Amino acid sequence: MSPELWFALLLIVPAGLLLWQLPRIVGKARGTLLALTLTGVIGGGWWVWCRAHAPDSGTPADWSAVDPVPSETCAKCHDDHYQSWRRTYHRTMTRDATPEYVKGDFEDAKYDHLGFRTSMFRRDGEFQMDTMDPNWALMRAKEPQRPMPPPGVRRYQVKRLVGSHWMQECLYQDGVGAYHRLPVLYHIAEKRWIHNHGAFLAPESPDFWAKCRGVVWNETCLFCHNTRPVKNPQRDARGRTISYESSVNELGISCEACHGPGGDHVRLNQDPARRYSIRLTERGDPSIVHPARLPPARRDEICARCHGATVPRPEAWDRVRVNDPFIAGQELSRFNTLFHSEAERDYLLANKPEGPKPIKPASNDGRFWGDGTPLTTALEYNGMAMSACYENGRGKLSCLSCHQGHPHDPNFMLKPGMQSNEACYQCHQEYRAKLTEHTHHPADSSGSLCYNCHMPHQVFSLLATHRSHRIQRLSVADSRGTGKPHACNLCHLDKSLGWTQKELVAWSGGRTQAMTLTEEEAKWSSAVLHLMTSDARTRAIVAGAFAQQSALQASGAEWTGEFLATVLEHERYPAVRYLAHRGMRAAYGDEAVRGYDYLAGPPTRKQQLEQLRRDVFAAPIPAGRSYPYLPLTPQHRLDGAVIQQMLQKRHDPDVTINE
Amino acid sequence: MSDSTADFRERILRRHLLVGWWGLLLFLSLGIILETLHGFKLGLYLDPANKMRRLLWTLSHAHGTLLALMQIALAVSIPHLAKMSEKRLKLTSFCLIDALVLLPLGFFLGGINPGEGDPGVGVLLVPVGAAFLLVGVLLAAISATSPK
Repeated sequence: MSPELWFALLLIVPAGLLLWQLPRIVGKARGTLLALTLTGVIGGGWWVWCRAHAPDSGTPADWSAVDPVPSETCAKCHDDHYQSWRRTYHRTMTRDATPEYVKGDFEDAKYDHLGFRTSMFRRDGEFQMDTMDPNWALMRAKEPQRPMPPPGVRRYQVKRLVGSHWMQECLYQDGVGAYHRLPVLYHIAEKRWIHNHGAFLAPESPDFWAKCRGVVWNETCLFCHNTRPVKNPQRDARGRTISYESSVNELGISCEACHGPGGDHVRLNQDPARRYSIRLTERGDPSIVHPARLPPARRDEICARCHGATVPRPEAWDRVRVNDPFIAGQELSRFNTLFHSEAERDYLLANKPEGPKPIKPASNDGRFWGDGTPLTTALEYNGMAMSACYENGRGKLSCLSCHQGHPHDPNFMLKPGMQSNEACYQCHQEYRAKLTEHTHHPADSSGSLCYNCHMPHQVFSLLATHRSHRIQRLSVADSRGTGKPHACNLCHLDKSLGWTQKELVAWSGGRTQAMTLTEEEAKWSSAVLHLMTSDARTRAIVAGAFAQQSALQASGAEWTGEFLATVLEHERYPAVRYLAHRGMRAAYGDEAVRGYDYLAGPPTRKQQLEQLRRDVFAAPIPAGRSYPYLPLTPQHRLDGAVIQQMLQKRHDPDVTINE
Repeated sequence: MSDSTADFRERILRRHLLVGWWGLLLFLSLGIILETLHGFKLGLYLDPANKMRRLLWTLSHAHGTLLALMQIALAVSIPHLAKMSEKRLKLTSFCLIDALVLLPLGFFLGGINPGEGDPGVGVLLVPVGAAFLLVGVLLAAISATSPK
């Protein structure tokens, strides 16, 4: 309804009252005149009041000059949005270590890792950790044969926390303002302390502090896990950083990360006339960034700042203070460059890069599969932007098609209904009527959920697998030579890539051309082949698939125990061991396979596996179901000879995924 | 006091008793309706997102009830405000009745379509009603202050 109509309707009430009563008090003519005059005064007053501030005014000329405000200020008017944001893990991405935010057990908890005990406790209200002295750890790692005194223990005060959903890292602050990661962190999902060698995808190191060395919060986490970060390194005469005076507008990801600085918005909207004026014209307030009103590309770049692979453009950043200049609503590429491989990132970060820019990811890239699809989280924008559905930001698809910043459920921040096919039906309505014709799976099966095939769990981070945000058609070619397991074989774990290709060719009615596969790809289960021969990135994804109930239903769970025990026996990456053990737990129950610790030392793990093999996986695989692509002996046991042959072909470079 | 003046004062008194008691009935009924919304836990009134509506409708109920009582208070006071001129009494009566209409109605309409942090546009009736109330109460107060 137009503002004028609103005013006219409202004005009827006082006008009616005045016209009824005033003529009775001061006479008919004078009363009517007076009533009309007063009505005019009231109506005119409203009109002038609401027009006093044109809603088009208020766009800051320079957003970077606008004062920030804390999120509590926003709650005064936007309490519902404030409360929904308060529930998100965005808010608690970084916190100071206070009882409200500490997830880990600090009630004199002990954690033993490879013979060394770390203690977590509270003293005088502070959260403290006694753990191995980093210098001792380094000496031991460098010279393992050298006689050493008993491990030195050092006490750290946990000052800051990173993460609150999957894991929580504990940081201590040194004397020069830098925050450092401690080697033991809390795995929230498992409610246990773990050594950080087991928290990321990385080979184990003899150095207890290996994953902490060189990791300075002020240099890394600061930029994406906080709002309006300023690194502010203090440098000596030779330009070396000697200390930090880092600051943020707010710890964690707060209102201004997505809405821009709110100082002007708060000040201007102290005036109720302006607020009503904006409301009545329904044009939105230009003094604040509203992501939903931005064009899709600008809107998605707000997310891309942290959920995309970017490096700073040196010319756009303040090199002294090193503050992130990007403000929501601006063009991200003015300040940052998107990269598509770790080699490209290194090229962009190098001062004087030589040769052509390397776009293609290497086979040990810790962020991207060989075809450029992101393989870890925090790169969702890259994945989406690669999708045909995205239409280079000119179509309908945007992060906000499925997600919302103010969700009812903070897990994955999805809009209601977006965990179903409704997500895709927003654009692909035609598939509603011909779902099974398209999916070739029963309508109520997990195979008929669009995103199980088009956004499969091909992403690893935080000791879990996640959905790829590259929305892709099924293609066998994408999984050959890229390291990326095929979506079909992440559910059909017992089937080969050859089987997948045959099915896809048949579904397409011959429109898809079959590729020539290797004998092994055609013959053996893709999951088995990957877990025995592929690199740790692929192994992590495939191991993670064994924990999906839909995969166990499609593939049968009865063979997975003995097979996963074999995986664990030969696995050098703790994260893959964790995921493979998760698969065992999914198939056999937590209680049955409890006696295995993926972070225990090799002899202990060997004993634990022997025990599991004796107690849980002793029986052969039942003969009822046929598994033509599994390497089984006539006795329905795993064929050790075939497994050994596969293991000999394993391509196992050191890879690291630091998410 | 002439008969016509006495009749006039009697008419105003009866009008305010009528408006007061019926107003009381109306706004207490609104209170019962709001309690019913509570009883059946209706989202349109109780959902956190509708906090503003809840506040405004409660204010509508509260203001309506108090202003209805004020009409009765004026009716009861009329015999004691002998010095109040006919015109002033008419004006006072007019202002208080308008306040009874505009204030609760403004709050009620403001609660129908509230925005984030602000009532709906209907709330614009509230300041107008408040002005009438202020004038009405001021006139009554001046008359009450005048010596008999």
